[in-house]
Amino acid sequence: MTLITQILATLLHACAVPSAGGDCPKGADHFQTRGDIRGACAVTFDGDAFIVCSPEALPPQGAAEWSAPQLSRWTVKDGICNQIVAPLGFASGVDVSGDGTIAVADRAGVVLLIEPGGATRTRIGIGVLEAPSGVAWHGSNLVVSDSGLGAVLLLDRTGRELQRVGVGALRDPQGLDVAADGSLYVADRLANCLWHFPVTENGRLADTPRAIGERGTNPGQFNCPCDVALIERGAAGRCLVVADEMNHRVQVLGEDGAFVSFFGMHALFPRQGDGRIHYPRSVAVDAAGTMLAVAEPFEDRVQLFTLKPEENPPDAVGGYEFITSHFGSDVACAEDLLVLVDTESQGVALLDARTTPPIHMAIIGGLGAMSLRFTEVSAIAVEPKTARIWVADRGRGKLEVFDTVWDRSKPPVLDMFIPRLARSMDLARFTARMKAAGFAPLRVPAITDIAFDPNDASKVLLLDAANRAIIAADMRLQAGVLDRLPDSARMPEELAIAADGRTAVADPVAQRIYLRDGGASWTELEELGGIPFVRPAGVAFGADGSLVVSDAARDACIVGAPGVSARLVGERGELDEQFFEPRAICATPKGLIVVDRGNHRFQRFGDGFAWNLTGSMGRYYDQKRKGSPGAAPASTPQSRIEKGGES
Amino acid sequence: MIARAFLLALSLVVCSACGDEASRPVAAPPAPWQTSAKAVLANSADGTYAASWEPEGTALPDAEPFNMRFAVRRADGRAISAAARMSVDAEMPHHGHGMNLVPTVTRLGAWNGDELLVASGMLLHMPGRWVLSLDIEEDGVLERTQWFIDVE
Repeated sequence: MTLITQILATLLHACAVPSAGGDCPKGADHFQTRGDIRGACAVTFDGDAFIVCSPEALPPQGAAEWSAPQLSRWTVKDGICNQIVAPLGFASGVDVSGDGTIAVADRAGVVLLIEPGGATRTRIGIGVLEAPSGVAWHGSNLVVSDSGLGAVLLLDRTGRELQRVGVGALRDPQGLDVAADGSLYVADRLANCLWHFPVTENGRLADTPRAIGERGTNPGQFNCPCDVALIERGAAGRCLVVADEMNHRVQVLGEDGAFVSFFGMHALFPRQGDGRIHYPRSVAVDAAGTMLAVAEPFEDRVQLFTLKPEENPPDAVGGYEFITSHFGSDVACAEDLLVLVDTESQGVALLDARTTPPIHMAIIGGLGAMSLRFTEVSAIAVEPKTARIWVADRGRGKLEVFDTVWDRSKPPVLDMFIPRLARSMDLARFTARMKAAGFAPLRVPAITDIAFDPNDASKVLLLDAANRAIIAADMRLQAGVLDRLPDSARMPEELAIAADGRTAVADPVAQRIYLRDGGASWTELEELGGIPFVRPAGVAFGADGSLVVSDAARDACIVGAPGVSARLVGERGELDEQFFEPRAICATPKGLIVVDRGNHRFQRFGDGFAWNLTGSMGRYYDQKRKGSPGAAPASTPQSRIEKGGES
Repeated sequence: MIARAFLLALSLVVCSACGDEASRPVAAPPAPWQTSAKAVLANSADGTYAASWEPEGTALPDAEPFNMRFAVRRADGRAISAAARMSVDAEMPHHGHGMNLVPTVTRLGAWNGDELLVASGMLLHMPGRWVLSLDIEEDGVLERTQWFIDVE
């Protein structure tokens, strides 16, 4: 949410009509922050403590090995942390039952039950669940949201499916909570609403849910809601507390969905905290209904708030350094055209890659009133030779192609006429054609990356997380061939094709790089040159043929060759050759560009993967700043983010 | 007797006229308009369609609603599917906005290989460079045809 929309939302907030949720909290005071909880993505209360899920844990001081994905239990008052090491793939949701049994949703396709004391652990839902994204106890049973199945499943403690609801309505169900009457509230990230499943007369969950909310930035509207927690007020009804991720706030609604309040101003630059919120993913309220925990995986932290009946006063805007872009997820380049996604506006920025710094020329999509706006850009690519830009919009279920028209003989200038929509292809219709051709069962592709076969200009390659495959299709998606990834694949995120035909796929959840040397079989890499992958999110081939893997957990890139040697480049920080959750990589004429997502920028590395540029929109550094690795020491060491510190 | 003979003769005349009418080919209604020399022609982005537009009336009105006529055909000579969806829009990329009205597109039928359509409720509400677009979607693939319009 931009500053202007934030101010407008605040004004609208002040004018909003009082709702039925009159007893619901209207504000919250920041109580404390627990930092360095890597990828803190789900949180729940357990008595006087909170439990938080992390996809992986920091290595102990001086140790080289990273521990497995895990849970940690933190007491609220004294901040004592107990690690609960658990055999998880990628924890995405957590809840504790009345008898103290912890249930953890694992994107790897199971729910893990940990009995009190931690000695007994049971994995349930194998073969039933696909990509669990949230979990809550429903009496002695469990409700599990599954973003892969687009449904919520009611399971008993053995994992037997008792009911499946929301099929056809839910698009990307995430966190959920169960009301005292047994009804269910689910946050749907792609549908931008909450779903309420009442309980029917026969005690089952209603098959047809009621939608609460819509997409937007105004009070009561959502932009990627990821979780909901309930506060029961007895006869006064209940309150819904929502993690509104892309609006960077927590919203409170009455049980009828009427807006009550929001709080948590958008952090204006990475690492800003103390009540400011940055991409909240999960919320939990304690049993007394007075303490709120907010998990922010983007910031590796959980913030605790004390709920109160008064609204928060308007927050002063301030900060020592405003950011100038929100580059995230994907990046692509072919020859002279570089494209990056701005995650806040869902705009695709076009830059001339021939220059240092790259010159911004145009943007596709973005905020505003024009017709072509993206909902959730999940992949971008530039078609070689034609410089056509491909954009996969997961939210609208479209794959779109844009012509780019500019005079390369003249200096690059900002010109919004450069990109022009050429065609838009419907992924549901493509799926229907594929099924008719014999590829059933097949889900509508969730395209996470796009590439082009250097030896066949008539084909586009779509990395598909829904079917865990690479789809080779003709350029108009009339037909395609499914090339499935190994069974261990969970959430393939980036695809790279080398000039010599090698193919590599990064899968951060499977913690693997899949590599193919022109043949049909895949090699599964769990390390490169002896350096294990923790969360490999990006992959590319260097000009010298080396493999480059960005590791979002290590805050570094691993550069090397399989079975030979490798080196780590980068460390956590906000200076040059420092990263905060690096993601996609692509080759440009002046080196490999790595999206430094947690710092909202990109960095470029030339020959030998040597750093040569840090860039965001309108702000670039081509000389390393003091304090950066390999540069002169910083005169103000506080500008570096130290590991292990609290936000 | 005379009256019966008269009725028989009359019915024969009527039936004969009916048969003559049934066997005669139905004349196609005339095209609603003939594309004029002012029509601006363009090919769609992938070359699947060729289309032209012109304003209804003599010229583009200045900041007033108007109707726009289109003639479009497939480059491969096939008829455009009856299920095809067509939409018309106009935007000002440098200003980051579109029109204040949403036009309605009506397909009128095909004449001499050209599908004729009219977009009612167009409004280019300020001077500058506009991009006019005609989108045609067949079987899940939408393809765009675009023109620049400079409004003085």
